[in-house]
Amino acid sequence: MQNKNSDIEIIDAVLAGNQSAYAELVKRNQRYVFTLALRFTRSREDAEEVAQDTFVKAYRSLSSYQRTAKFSTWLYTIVYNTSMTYLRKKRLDVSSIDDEGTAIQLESYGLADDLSVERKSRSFYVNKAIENLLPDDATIINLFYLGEQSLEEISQIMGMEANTIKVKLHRARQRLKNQLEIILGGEVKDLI
Amino acid sequence: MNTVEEGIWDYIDGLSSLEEQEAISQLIANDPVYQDKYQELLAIQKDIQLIELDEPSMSFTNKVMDKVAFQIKPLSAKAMVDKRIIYGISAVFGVLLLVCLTIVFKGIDWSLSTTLPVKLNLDQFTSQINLSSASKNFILYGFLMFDTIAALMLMDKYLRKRLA
Repeated sequence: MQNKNSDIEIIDAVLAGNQSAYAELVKRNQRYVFTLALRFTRSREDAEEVAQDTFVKAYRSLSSYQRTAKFSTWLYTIVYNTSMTYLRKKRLDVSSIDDEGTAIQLESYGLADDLSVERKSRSFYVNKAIENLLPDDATIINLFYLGEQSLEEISQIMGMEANTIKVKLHRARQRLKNQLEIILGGEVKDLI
Repeated sequence: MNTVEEGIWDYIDGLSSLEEQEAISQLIANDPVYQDKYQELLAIQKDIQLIELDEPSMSFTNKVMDKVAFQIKPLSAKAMVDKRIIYGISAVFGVLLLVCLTIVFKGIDWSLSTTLPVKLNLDQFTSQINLSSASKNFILYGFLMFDTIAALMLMDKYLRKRLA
């Protein structure tokens, strides 16, 4: 059985001067980092750029990683900040997350699509629905379910109170359900 | 967001206390409203678990490592700060402290040592150092400044730990 080094062991190796050890950290976390970046950028090219910047920034600041939090939490904080900087540059408005009346831009996923609902998997529609959520909603869901971060850790990443994150998580799930209803119309009842 | 839904979500997420868990499970078992809501939220939970991670390009790691190669290697704080510098600074402050304490203790009138508090003759301390009043003030303010900075640094460290 292969004995995998812990993140801390790899970080120690990198800090001791073994630059190539960093590739292992990148491989382990690249899917999470890329997915989070994609929730903000909505473009694979831009997400790759944000994700690469994240890893370069993390490398440069590795000596300042305090080890009081999980490495993934620290890394996701960098992704979040890098993505926010990206959005500011792109002048997209992400400040109205709490606004219930926010209009969410939706592509048309009507039943008139070439592929019928039956032919597309349930997973396909759920992933489409999360793509349509506001970046913060999608990020919270991703961090909680895929990134296995606690509410406290998410609050640290996003710089908000844990209670605020809890409320946002509830709302994000509700919005995801609404998205599925919009995408699938009446057929959502069969799915959820 | 109603409290029924919030309570059930906390129950599903495992965020509620033992007593709350017990209460919610009772409600789910007995109350049809709770039962329906629980099934609905459970279905959403099941759907969320279908969310997949996206894959970056095949060459992603190589691209990152190419960029990293141009960066200055990060070194641990231990490696960055030469221990001899730390020891040198400590020695200077240690010697200064010893000199000050020696002068102060030399000025104590030990004949009055039975009565407390011990009276410290700080005038003698300052007079033994043959400096102008401006220099004395400078030294005094220097020490005060050092103490203030040290206190602020300690407070900063403490607050950072608390916030973390």
